[in-house]
Amino acid sequence: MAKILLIEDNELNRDMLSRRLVRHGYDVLVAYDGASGVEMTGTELPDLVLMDMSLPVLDGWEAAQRLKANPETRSIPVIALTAHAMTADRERALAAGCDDYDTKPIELPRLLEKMQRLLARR
Amino acid sequence: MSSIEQLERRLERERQARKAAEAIAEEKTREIYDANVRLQQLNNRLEELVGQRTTELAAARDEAIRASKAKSDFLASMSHELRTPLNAIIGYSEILLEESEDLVPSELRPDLEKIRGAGRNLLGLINDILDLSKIEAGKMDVFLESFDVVALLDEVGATVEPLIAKNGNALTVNCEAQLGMLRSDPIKVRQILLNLLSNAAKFTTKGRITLTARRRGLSGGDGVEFEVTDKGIGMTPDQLTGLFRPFSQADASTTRKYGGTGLGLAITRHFCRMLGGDVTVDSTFGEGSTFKVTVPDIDSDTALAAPQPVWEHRVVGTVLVVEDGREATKSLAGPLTQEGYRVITAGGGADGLRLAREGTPDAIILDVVNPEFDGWEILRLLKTDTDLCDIPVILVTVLDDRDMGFALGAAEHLTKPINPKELLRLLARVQRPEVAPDVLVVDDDQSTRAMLRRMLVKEGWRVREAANGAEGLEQLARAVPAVMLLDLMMPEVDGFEVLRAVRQAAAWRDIPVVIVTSKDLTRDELEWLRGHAMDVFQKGAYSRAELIATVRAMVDAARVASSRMVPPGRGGG
Repeated sequence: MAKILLIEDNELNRDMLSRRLVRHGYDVLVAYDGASGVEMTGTELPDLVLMDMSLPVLDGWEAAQRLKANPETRSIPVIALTAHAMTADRERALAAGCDDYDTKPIELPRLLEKMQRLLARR
Repeated sequence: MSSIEQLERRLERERQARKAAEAIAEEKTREIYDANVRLQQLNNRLEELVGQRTTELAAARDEAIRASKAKSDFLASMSHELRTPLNAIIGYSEILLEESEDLVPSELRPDLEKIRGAGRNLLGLINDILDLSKIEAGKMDVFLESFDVVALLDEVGATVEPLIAKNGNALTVNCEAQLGMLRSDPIKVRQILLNLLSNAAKFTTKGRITLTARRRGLSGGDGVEFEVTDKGIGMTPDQLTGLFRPFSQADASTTRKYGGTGLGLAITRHFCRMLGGDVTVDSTFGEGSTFKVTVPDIDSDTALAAPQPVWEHRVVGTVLVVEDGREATKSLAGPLTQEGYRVITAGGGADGLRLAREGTPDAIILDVVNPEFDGWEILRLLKTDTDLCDIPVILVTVLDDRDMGFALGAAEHLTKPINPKELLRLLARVQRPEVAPDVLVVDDDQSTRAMLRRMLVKEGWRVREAANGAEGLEQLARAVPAVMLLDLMMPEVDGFEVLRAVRQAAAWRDIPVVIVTSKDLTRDELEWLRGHAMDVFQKGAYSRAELIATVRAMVDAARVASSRMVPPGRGGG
């Protein structure tokens, strides 16, 4: 069972996405801000990180950069989730080291497909 | 009665008569004088009123434009806020739908589907409003990349399939196998096609919808023409007018029957034009409609049309004409107005100075030919007033006066009869004063900086240098350069970070940045840089001429943009 870390500060979004992922058979951990997300990634070593980009304490761009700068967490795929459906965001996310990108509101089948593709690569 | 007496009496009568006549003449003269004075006062008052009214109208217009901009900003942020709770509505309805699959039988499903459907519908509308307000606020960007047209068509077809099937329609995609790659903004092209196809699906029942794509030689280069044809309800010529205007559907009953805000086609047209193409429609009532979209291949040297705001009528600038002869003023106003200038006229020196202050013109045209009208004094007053001295003045002179005009601070001069083309050329020039554009060079290697400086100075540009990213940001804070040349590998704050900071700051966002690097770039880095910088030059692999040509194009583009995008009322430069 793949272990997913969901880093999301919005309670409703966190609850929704984690419940749906659990229903699809994933083991879901949650973090509420960028700093604790980076820390949990280091201790829990999840198979994949889903990261909201507008996070308190440490934003998603910065958090992704830190994960990718750390040799221990570098290989863990990160999917950036943003509310702004703009190409610039996609490029910013990829530049920050994220492996993929999706927009909110989440379209679950699309997100699942992206997750599966990245998990299969590992 | 003696003849002498008779003579005296006649004389006396004549004297009386003359006196009476003089009195009458004097009275009449006074009346005429008074009438003249009143007329003069009335005239002055009238001019004052017209001047006042003009200023008020200008202020009202500026206010309206500000309000429109504020509204767009509000809509953009509001739409974003609306999406967040909507996200929860759609998400939880989906969770309930998924979880209700386990409950047998689930009579809740139809209702849940309605909630989800309405939520998605609302989301689409909010996205449309967000797009339109972004276009309106000038915040919609074009991201160019080369993409495979056939792959895009496949993807669009798959996305729109459920919508097509909803009214029992079928979709046919016709495309030449040799469509190849197109260089444009694929996300916008995709949205254009989705908008047209979903419209076709909405207004057609149990019919065939066709999407055709073919290579075309378009005016201004090669490109692809897309065509969406439906056998739907069609439109009358009346309904066709205003079809692409925001918030207008063919008619109000359409909205009731088919829903929608009428924003889709307005957005579609804006996108098409942003991409250098256009959309046209051909429709017969009761038989169906065909929308034709052209999307040109955008080479790097093809300039994209600046996005036109949706509601705002853009004004190039304001010109104050100070003159005594009304005829000439009128003849100037015509061509200026046609070119998009707002023209204010002042009938005298005092008026001219007042309107220069109140109307904040971008340029003043001052007639000093008429000797009875003290244009020189006005010029002197304009140039010695700290508030007004920056407004460029174009003198209308006789050739002899030219040097005196320049000595007093005039920017340009013209001789009568005025050639409108020449006037427009001078206006454009004074509005963009020829200060050498400055280029900021950020590189930690001293010899590279020196080499770039030599190249740039030779072209007549001013150069500022920064020896690392932090210094570069400091220089940016000091003044916004026309172009920035940026190295990537620098100690502490590197080029990526500088670029990120630049693209995030509103004041710096539009600075063209050219990367000059010796770093071996990964594909991802290159992709990111292409989205954030104007061009990337690998040290040692580019020619001096190429770099200079690139910088020059950016300097020129920045000038055109700043002259075009100035807030109406106060001009560029």
